[in-house]
Amino acid sequence: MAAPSSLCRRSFWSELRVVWAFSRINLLVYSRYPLNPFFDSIWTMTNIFQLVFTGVMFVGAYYSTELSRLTGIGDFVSYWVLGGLVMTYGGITLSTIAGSLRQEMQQGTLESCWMAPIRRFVLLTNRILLNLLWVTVFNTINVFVVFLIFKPVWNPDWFSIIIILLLTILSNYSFGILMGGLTVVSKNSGQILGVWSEVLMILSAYQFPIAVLGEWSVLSNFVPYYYSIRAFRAVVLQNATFQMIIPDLVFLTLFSTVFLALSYAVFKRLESVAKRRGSLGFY
Amino acid sequence: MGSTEKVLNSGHVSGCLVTRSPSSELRALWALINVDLIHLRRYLLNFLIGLFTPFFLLLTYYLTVMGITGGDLTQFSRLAGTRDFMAYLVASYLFVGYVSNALWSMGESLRGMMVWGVFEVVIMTPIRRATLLIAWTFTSFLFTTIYTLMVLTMAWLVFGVSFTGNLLLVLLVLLLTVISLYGFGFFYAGFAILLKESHKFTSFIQNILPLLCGFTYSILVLPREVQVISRIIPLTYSIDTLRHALFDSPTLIPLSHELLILLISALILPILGYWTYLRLESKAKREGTLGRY
Repeated sequence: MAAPSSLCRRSFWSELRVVWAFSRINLLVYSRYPLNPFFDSIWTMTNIFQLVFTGVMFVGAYYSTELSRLTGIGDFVSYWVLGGLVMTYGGITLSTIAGSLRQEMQQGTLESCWMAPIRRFVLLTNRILLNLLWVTVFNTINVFVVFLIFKPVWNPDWFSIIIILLLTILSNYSFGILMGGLTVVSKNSGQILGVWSEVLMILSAYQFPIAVLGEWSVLSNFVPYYYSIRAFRAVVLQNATFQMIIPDLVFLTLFSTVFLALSYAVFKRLESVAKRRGSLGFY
Repeated sequence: MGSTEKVLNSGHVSGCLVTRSPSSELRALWALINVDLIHLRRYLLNFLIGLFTPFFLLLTYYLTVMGITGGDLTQFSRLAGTRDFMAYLVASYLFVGYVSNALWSMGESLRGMMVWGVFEVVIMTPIRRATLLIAWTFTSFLFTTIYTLMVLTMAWLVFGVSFTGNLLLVLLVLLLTVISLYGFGFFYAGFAILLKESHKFTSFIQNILPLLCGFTYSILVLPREVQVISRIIPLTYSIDTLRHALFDSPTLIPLSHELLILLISALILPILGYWTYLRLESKAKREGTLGRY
């Protein structure tokens, strides 16, 4: 009872202190290289602009009649910016777990962290919070620049937007855990993550109307991004009310619960494989 | 005379790394390349899966174009000189791998060594800098060539892309560009020593070059102010000359001028890059920051 809130005795507060400790480390590293926030904020913007200019090369304006015919949205700048915005939130949950596990393995601290009396959930999730904060800051800057240059017409319903983004984060968390499990076993999962992200990007129809996927579009039904992006665009660009996006939110909730449980079970299995092999601390 | 000196003077270890010779440099080169090959074998699945990335990139581009044009390529063909938009993209993709490689192979090799804390040790070994710089790029250059061949194969098999045109000129442009890019890579390696955490900067450069040089579009669609910057970067002319050689598309400036720019870049950038690298490395040595990260 001498140290009731110490790390030796697990409690809600001790777990919170762990999150804070990890966040402080990451903040410290991030602030050590002050140019990083600048590069990070510009990174997404360069992607958006590259897409926009590709669009202009093909249709000669910021408006596509074909896109309008297939989706009801002709303004491809808004179409891509909003899709990209949702993708960044999902992407953080998808890549952070695998990334931080790999980092710990490279630095040789994974096994020590694993042995500490910290819940696995906290160990896997702690970096996501800070990254989400950064993504929000960068997205705000990007949206500001887009408004300054392209002056799009958006009707944000903040309540729906927040719900969609929260469910996007939760539903993609399961994929993040799966990638984490793969990283524990295969060690270097960078390319696997890259290909998986590409597959999700195609099936979510982030850059094009779902109709161009043809029969393959049936696979999109199994990708949370598809529902997130569809609902997000409907709310911001087509004045959809909260009631109108409820079906998409239901699917996102299902992904957030069922997939999460399944992926956590798979993660535990992969972790025990690594433990049996004695390769947990290796890289 | 110290014992080490005696051994060295006895001539029994004439080819060892302590006494520099062409064969010792070659052995060092092989040892460094071998490290990369061991790394590749250890993460083979990662490497093999990475080979399929081009397919998804090409597919995304194809679907995006179809989604916004519905097959009407009038506007595109007016600027590109061809209706084959997949060939137009693949032509640029011949460079993408090498641009990434020039940036990542040297800069990120150094960063990796700084993170692992072995950079200072490697720098102190009696190996010529040129050997080290070549070793850091050789394996990744090989992988990039494999990756580029995968892009071409997939583009041909899945999207029916085939190239005609002046293939000799294509080879010349590729050669000059790759030499320039690796020259830039030398410069970038020096910059990585200075910056330490070059990871984000590398991503930034890797993204800004396609944007400014028009990898997926003609730079004529960019705002005039941005075009000014694009026209300063030699890579813009590499892509432009390549497209001209393949599709007979109009060039930004006369072809002879574009070729001259590429030739000058290929001659100057490696020398300037190497000189800059040595300067920045000695600056880090003087300041005692070589081993820091």
